[in-house]
Amino acid sequence: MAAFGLAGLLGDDGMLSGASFDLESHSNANPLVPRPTHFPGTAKRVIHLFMNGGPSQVDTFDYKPELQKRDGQALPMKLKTERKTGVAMRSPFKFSQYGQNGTYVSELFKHTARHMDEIAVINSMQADVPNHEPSLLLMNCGESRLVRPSVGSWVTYGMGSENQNLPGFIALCPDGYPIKQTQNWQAAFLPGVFQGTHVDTRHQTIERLIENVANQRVTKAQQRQQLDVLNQLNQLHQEQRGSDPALQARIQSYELAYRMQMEATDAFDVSKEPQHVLDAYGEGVNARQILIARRLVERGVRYVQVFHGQGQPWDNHDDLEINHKRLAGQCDQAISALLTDLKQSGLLDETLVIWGGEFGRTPVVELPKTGSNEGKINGRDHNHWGFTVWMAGGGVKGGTVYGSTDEFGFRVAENPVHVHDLHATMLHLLGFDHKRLTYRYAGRDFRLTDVHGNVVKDLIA
Amino acid sequence: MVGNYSYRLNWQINWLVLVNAILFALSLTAGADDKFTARQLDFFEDKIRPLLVNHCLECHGADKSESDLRLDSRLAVLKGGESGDAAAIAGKPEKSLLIRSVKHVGDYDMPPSSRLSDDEIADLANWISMGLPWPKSRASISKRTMAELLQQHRKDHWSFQPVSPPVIPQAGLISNSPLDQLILAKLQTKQLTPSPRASRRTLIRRAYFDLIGLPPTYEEVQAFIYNESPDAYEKLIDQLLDSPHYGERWARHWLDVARYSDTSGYKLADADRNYPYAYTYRDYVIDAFNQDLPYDQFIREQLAADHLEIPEDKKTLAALGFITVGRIYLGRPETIDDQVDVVTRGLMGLTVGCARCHDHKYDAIPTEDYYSLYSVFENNVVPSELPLIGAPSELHKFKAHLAELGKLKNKLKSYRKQCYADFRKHIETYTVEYVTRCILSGQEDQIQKQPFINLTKPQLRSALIEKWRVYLAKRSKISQPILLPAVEFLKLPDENFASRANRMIKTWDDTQQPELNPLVLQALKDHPPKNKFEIGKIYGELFEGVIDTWKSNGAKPSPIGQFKGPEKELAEFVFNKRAPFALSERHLDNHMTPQERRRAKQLGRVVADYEAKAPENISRAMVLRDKETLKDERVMIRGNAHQRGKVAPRRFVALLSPNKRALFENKSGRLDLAEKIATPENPLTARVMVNRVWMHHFSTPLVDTPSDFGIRCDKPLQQKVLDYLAYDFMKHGWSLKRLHRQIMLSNTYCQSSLPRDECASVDPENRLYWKMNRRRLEFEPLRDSILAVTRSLDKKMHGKSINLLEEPYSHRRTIYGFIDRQDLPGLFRVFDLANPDQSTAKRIRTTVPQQSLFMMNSEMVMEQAEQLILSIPNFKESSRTDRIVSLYRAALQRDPSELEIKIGSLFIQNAFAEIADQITAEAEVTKTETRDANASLRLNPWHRLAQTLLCTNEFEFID
Repeated sequence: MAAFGLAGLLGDDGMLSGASFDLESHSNANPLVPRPTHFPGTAKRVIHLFMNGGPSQVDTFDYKPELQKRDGQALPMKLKTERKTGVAMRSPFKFSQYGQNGTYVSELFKHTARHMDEIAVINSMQADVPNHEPSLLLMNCGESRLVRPSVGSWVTYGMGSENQNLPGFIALCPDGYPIKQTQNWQAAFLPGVFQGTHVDTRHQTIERLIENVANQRVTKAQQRQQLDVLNQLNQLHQEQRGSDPALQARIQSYELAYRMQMEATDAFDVSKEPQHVLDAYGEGVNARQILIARRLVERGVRYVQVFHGQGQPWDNHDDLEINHKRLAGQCDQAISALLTDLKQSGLLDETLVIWGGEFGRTPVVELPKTGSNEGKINGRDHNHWGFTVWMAGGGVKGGTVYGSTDEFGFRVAENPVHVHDLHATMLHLLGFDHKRLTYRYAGRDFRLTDVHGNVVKDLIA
Repeated sequence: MVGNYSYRLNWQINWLVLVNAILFALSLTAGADDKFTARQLDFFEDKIRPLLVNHCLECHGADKSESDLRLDSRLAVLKGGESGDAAAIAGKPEKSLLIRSVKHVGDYDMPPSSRLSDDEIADLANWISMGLPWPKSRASISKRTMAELLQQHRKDHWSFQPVSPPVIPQAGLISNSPLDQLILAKLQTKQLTPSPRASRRTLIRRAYFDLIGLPPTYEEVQAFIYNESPDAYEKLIDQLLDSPHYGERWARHWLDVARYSDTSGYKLADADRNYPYAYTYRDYVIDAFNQDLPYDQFIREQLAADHLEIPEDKKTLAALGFITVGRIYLGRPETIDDQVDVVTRGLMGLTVGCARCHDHKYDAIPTEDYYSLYSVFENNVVPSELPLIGAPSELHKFKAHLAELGKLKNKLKSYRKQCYADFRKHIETYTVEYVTRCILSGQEDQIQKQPFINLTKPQLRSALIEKWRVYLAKRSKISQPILLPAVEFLKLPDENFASRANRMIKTWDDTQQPELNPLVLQALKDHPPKNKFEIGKIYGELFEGVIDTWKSNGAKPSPIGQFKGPEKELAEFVFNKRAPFALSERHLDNHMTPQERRRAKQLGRVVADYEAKAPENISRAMVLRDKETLKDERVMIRGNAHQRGKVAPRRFVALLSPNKRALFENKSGRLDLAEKIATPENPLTARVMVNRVWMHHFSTPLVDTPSDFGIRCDKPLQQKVLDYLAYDFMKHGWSLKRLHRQIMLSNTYCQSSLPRDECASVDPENRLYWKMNRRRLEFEPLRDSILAVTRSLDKKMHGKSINLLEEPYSHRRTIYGFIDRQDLPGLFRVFDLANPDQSTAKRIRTTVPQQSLFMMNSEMVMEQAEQLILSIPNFKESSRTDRIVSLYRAALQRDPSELEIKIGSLFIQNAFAEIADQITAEAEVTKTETRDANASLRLNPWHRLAQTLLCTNEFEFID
């Protein structure tokens, strides 16, 4: 068994990191079996609520009274973002204080804000450039240009998954793909099994959610009979050939597949939830997929990424007030319900919940541009200089506000947290030294954080 | 955490030892040399110094001292690191942390990524026993320079040595095959023996799958089993090598290396990402294998077909797809990087890409060498119209199609020409408007009200405003004689602007300070600006004046030279190559109006659609062409395109150039590069290919990292086998078919795959090849086999790629499937198909339930299960037993055993027991092919049995 488990995962020049930890001693033919991490982590699984397009920090979790005062005035600073920007634009949303520390949160996330004591807000996030494509890849794969494995792939590669009947890494996105499509959950040079499985949550029937998971033409009972005969035939085959882990592994994988059909159907079937739970999450596809995310982590899926929608919904270059209100309205209540549920079941202690986009938005107004936001002057441009991401659960120090931007919310002023640092911290919470979670490919050892990344200790409880 | 704990533990146990060591060390600081014999010091120089330099100093040296430990001087070794212990205790290897660490028995496993060889560990222990001899003259040692490293790697590393034929052991001669003799010699060192020959049925299946990726038929198996001719097996191999399916099987292996895809990857703004002619490269590869094109020529053609003499049909040009079917990244450096990677790793197993940002960490490949190769590929472009390939007589047939295509393209071209002409006119006409708009941003409404403004806001083109803005801003410092007044005026308050401006003009005029362009000064004197808006007017008109003069003189090229005196200064400003006026048609895309853009896109789509509907045989080659003007790139420091270092001339890597390196001479240098790779002088090329061919025959390669033969790749256990085959390969014209024969006719290849405990206990991983390895089919032969056993395989070769996942399902071989690298179907990933973004020689192999789900639930497989029943003649009339026999013969090419018949029969009986009218139902089994009624959508028991046979291990594994 041992030799196969390892040999099967050796790719081109691929090599599981040798000295630090490997699969050899914990091998099994299925590369998704749970594996110990470098050290015991506080988080066992991750839900990443991805507000793709880039939500505005100054309209959500980074309250800037000074910005309100200077509405309509030119700011004393000028930072280059994707498009041309003008004067300061105050937030049209009301902020109130929540939690024991009285953290300001805007009305957009008033439901989520009830959990501020569990949440660590990072107001000093930084990315490299103000463009979607590279920033999405940076946030999801740790590298903005080249083809590199996604965070979820690294995590499932590192620790397997707790449920062998479901994929270990699932990316939920209704109506299609985000920008950069499947690259957001790519396994790149890691084995394909660690790639995110995309589920289009617009669909509600299981056979449309996961490929080949249901069969209209053979009943379960009939399939059981088929598998019983298959087992007998495979047994006869094996008897003539002596023990061979590869043969055995394939026999097992049919049994796993058989169980996966039931488990997956069950996991995605939110109609099994009582009405009060459905009510708590609210209406709409985002509410449903956030509820699905909860059902998936309850079943031991290691990494669930929830994209708000196809394309880049949060990219509000114009009509920010209307759009941000609509988008937050689609998920705020459900996020709050998710945190409530996880707290109640005790799962929050070991489930890391992350909220954020690929970058934030400018505190200044974006100037109109022909062909895009022509005739409008009520939105914000991309902002990688400073933005907000929050984390909760999984050993995160709740009730924290870490780092800050300048008085307008434009650029990081204190304790910058680069995306690489966020990744290092996430891996740390999961029990990995980000410098040692490596994979040898094309002659060198790769890691999620490349040559960067510092664990932000202040975010850890 | 573990470290902290052990830190304390070790400290308690060893502090006494440590104190001793320090005292000992102090006693040695003076006159260390005297203490050691010359022989001991030689030992240090020969064995220990290189070992420390190569394995330790990277992290424990002057640049970086992990855990506070340095190993670059004797004192440092004795001092130790943060654990507090000495790294080595003179005379006591067994107690030395260094030895415990390299043996991986202590708290540290060093070096972290690999283990030293037993010999190296013994040397280290020996050195410590001697009391750590270290020459006084070289108190500290450092990392080697690149030159030293180069020399050492060239001298020492196995794969950089020329390929020479090994001595073939003759002892216990059991085979005519030198390969067998070499394998046997190694087996004998461990007292192992080879396995007996596999059965005829096993052999024929093995050979079929290996060479053509399809199963034999039952009849073919029977014929082979009962063929008594002594050369039956040899004939079989020859016959398979002659099959056109051979090329289809082996081309797929190569396409993995070539990171083949039918799309270019992510594109901005929904631009078309298809490579409509990628298939011509795939077909070229299939044909190259089928024709046994010498491998060295195969390389030359793929890198430089356009520089070679090729047949009239020009089909060889398609070979260049090797370079061009990669992903097009948003940044060109990444696209070129991918090309450098596929050539170096793909053809030579050399990881040159590692040297993109810094010198290679392991191999002696300086960054400069990376950029030398980068320069080669950077000096090429993909032409906008790919060349047609095919015999001229064939092309003749498509005259009408091509004429229409030409017409559509011309339409687009002339529309763009028209747009550009309009744009030029726009620039020339509205200089005043743009200059005004740029110098007074944020006051659009006011600008609009000026009487001299002739352009309403929506008519301004934002990209042109930006162009003007950037140009004026950059020039405001350089062109002071022209722009200084504007800059100064803009600083003035609005209040009393006219009089203040007038005063300034007067001062400039009186003092002639600063020195202004006389024409500018004159214009200001003639029309002093009454407000800030008029600044734009004055300048705009000055610029327009220059343009008008030029036009009235015939608008001849090189305008600047046509002016003299102060006018020349203005002309230099207006016609500067960075000026808005100099925007060429190349930049048109940025400057179109939204309407123009829509129209151009529409016309472009008409062309693309028409091209997509091209008749199958109109093919184009995905070529690239050398640029007209060639230029060597500068090194990008840390991979940053904006920070350049020294020029990297186009030439080969130093590591593989033992003699003086010549510069590449043929244009971009692709042909020169090909010649450096496709030559017996290159120690890597043949070895790398032989290793891969071996891997596809035996499932395990001789060299574990088939695309990395660098310094971290240990000398392989079976190097002699590799070198024997590589030498033979080159000697016999780089013939791959000969290589297959060499391997497949050996006894080693023909061994049974059954396990033998006595061998498994000695060599569990079968590195010595005491048996054949059992293999699972990859996705392509699996799907192809299913289609083959149901007799529905469409054997048509070549042509455009087709979507395999769309109903009605194609029955073509899997190699003809469309591969979209930006949206690779989950099914392909689940079955471990090679990632089309990275050159892959060895696929990852996993066993995951999603693979089984495909076999159990996919319509593709269920349809074939039905087809399997339909393909059996007289199924309906046959008895149950006969039906089962037929099923086994079709699916597994053999007769079932009694027991298997019983199992199958029982399955059928139980399944029909659910149905009331058993007899009729069983008789009617074939009826479900009409799937109109809902009830008949269900698979009937026979279909389900057929499907089960397709799912067996026997179906999917080759013994």
